[in-house]
Amino acid sequence: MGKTWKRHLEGYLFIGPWFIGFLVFMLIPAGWSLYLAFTDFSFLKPPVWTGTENVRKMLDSDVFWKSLRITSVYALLSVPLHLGTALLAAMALNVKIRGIGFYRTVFYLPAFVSSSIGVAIMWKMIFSDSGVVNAVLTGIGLDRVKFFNSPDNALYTLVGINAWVLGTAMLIFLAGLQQIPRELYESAKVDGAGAARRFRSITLPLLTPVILFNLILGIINAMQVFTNGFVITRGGPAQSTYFYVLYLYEEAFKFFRMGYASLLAWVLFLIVLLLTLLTLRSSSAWVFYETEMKGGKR
Amino acid sequence: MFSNKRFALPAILALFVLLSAVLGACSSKSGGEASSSPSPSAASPSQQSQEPASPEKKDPVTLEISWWGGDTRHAALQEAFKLFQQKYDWITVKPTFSGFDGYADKLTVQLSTDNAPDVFMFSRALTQQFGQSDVLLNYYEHKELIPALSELDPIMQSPYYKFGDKLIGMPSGITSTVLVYNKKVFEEAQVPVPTDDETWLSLGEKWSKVHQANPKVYGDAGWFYMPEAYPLIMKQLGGELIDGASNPPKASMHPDQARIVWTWTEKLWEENAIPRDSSDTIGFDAGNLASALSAASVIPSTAAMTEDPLGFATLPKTFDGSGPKISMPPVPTSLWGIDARTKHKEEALLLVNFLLTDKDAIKTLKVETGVPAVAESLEYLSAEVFGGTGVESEMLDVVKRSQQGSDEYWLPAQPLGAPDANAAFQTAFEKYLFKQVDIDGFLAEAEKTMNEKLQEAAK
Amino acid sequence: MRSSSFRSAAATVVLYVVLSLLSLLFVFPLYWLVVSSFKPLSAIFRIPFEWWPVDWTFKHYKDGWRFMGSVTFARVYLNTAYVTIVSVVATVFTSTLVAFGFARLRFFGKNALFVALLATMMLPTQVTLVPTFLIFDYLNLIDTYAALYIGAFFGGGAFYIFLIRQFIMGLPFDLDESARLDGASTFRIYWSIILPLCSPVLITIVILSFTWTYNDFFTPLIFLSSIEKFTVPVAINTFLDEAGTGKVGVAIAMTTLSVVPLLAVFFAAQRRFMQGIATTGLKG
Repeated sequence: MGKTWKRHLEGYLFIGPWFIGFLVFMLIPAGWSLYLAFTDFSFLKPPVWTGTENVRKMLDSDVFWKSLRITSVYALLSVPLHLGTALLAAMALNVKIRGIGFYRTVFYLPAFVSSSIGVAIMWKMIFSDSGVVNAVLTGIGLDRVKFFNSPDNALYTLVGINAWVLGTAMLIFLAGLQQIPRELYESAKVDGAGAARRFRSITLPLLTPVILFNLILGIINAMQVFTNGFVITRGGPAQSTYFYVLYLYEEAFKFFRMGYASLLAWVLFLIVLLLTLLTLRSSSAWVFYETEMKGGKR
Repeated sequence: MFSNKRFALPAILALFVLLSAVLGACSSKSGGEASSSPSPSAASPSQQSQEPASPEKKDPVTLEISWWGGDTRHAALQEAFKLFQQKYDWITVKPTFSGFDGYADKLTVQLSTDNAPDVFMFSRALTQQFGQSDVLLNYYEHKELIPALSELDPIMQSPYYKFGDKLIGMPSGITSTVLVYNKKVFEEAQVPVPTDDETWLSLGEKWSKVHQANPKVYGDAGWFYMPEAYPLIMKQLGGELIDGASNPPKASMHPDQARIVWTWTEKLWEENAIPRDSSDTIGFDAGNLASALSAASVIPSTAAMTEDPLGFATLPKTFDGSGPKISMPPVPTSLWGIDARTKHKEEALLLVNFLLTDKDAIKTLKVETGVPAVAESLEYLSAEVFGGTGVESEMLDVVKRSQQGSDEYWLPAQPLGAPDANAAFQTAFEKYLFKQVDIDGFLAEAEKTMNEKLQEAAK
Repeated sequence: MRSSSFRSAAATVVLYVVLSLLSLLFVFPLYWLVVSSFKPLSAIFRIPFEWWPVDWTFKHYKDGWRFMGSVTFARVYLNTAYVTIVSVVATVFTSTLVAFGFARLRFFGKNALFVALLATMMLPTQVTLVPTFLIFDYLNLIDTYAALYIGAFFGGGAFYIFLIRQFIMGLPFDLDESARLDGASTFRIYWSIILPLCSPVLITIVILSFTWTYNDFFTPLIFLSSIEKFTVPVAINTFLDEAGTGKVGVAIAMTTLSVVPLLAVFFAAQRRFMQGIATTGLKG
């Protein structure tokens, strides 16, 4: 009895730093914004309770549905593409050859640059109608592409840029690959397993905890995509990159409808939470923790 | 890795103990400098007529002030505050500044949480949002401390400065939308440069000719300047887009006049005199732009981006030469607001008035926060500081000229919901621009969605 | 034997070629920044793009480094270094503690709390800004360095905790069990057994938390007011006015410069990846 009590306490001591921060810096602001979701709040005057008025407005709004659709399309394309390229790059970089550190650094470069401010101009210049990419395309005899200057292409250009910035996902895959013991590969080789076989029966299963992580983070980030839509395309042209969080941001800080924006935030929260829980639920079928292999308890 | 970590850990700890010591030392040093800087000696001679008399002896006061801008504006304003501290030696000014990105968001959060600076710069796009509460000081209640107010009052009768009967912003400077052109491009094309007497039609012809002479060059960067110029052109043709007097306010597209404008525009698009949908690599800096509509306030930075000589003209006052000549009055580049909850109202007002009228301040600020709004300050700057030469002088001159020679000065109505309605217009327009709808579809959608927004806001 | 070593040599050559070609693609944004930072303002936007500056200038770097009054970029880098180092160190310690708790210990409400942890990443921060500002104000954190690194002392954020938890879950459980049988305390298992085995992910955490704190624009923008406390991104921001023009050259030069420390940290940290393998080889 006393021992169980001690065990619970120990658990709480370990997660304590996060838990205190969670109560103070997360739960209070989150609760406050949940309340605001049912009010009319314009920053400078006290909120006024309006009940479900915001909900009605949201369901009636074309822009709400439109931005949700744009964001979903972005997420559907961007998550698999981004994770796929990041995994391929991580595997190519997980070799022991001279100078590999240089290549790793180079592959990670776009992540340094793209998160710095003041580079919106750079992306515009690179992808503009007479920009560098088009110069290269016409140089090799292809047609010019309107990357940002077309409602049909702008969204896909942003998906492409996101795939190009391998950054975090690649690094995490690389760390995951590093953690896989070499001996497993060597003994598989001795058993005569080919490269494809080794990938399927060693790399992939042992990497699943990391894939799960990257997948969940990918979904969260894609559904909250904001920065590039804000600084490069400003949601346009013709609202073709008007992402959900961009809509939310403009409702809050351009039109001062913070109550409504809070509702939008909580709706997105519920959508992302649902997607995450579904992913987690499915994970027991495909994620492989070493703990299980050894018959240990989770 | 782990054996190394045992070594790395103390090293890292030592490093940041050292860093905090250094940073702490620097902070206290710079803090000391700031508070010791106001010197009691150099109070300016009281030659300026508009200055309220400074009181005898006061308790020390620290005023916080924030603004956005580039580095030259930061330097100029900080210099001006030094002069202010010399003149009013009991006041210390604590400046906060940043670039444009994020400034308004931060200010909004600060105002919302009662953490705002005593005086702050804000955008004219936010006057109507800020005015709905009583968080900003109403300058009308303190007329005696802002002598410049009575002179400026006539130009401040607009939604950029006022919310209802409250005056919540004083102009940091004023600006007009003007036509900036590249003299070299026109010269090479052997086309006479635009003048103040163009009509939109004659200007369009010049754009076509310049483009014919050099296909790489565009007459104008395109129709992305919509929100300000289009309502003016429509008004010159006799159609007002938003009727602010009716209740609820009403938007109408005036299809007859609109078709005239869009047929003309389609022709320019077809001739490639202006691009239909690719403005992003056209600019004075890229060397492929003949002229552009631009806020006069950004002329100095535009001029810095190119080696080509630039010229300036006022916007056309008529579409085709018929009807009355109509121009827009100047607008504030940005505004100085005062937090109504400040403990130092009097000092805050002194500071705003100082920036508007003090000759030393005007000399220091030049055109960094816009063209001086007060006539005497403008005169002083243009005659005695710039001496009538240089790009700044031309900038002052073109702003002055755009206030002359029209039969009517007109600003679009900005009822509640106008920002939403303008955004709705832009959305419908871009669908037309990218050929998702035709002219009729565009006009119908714009009218419908704008009215929805206006009605919703009026509720 | 011979043909297989020939084949692997050929494979290595192919790998080098492929990696080098791809590198061109990834190096380009930085290349654009570097060459643009040495061009005069009027040449930065010239069409077509100048692959090599025609007129060289170092003016942007000189103007930028001088920064504002008595505050130079040296000061800005000191500020950034301080905030970043505190953040990284605190994040590594607290996030591993919490992650260990979630991965290895059993306590009441663990699964619910774990979902709550993930949920903290899902609410857009725009709507919690006002109350967060009030809480920071109440705690006297406004315009202090602490506002920028306080989060690192509370687990550093769900991202890091979740990531480390995933890695710890991938480590064999018998390691803990046998240590426990030997009488090791839970903290000792965390400190001497799990942490060393986590080195690849710890390196990742160092790189990521360094990059993010270093590049964070929004937090310092909102919570700092004194220029002498500015970090690199907010300092660069002060060169950009609403037209986004003015001092673009300076902003590009200072952005280019700001990549150097990131590169150094990344390059140094990734070398450790290789050394990490030997240690992880112990397991199983």
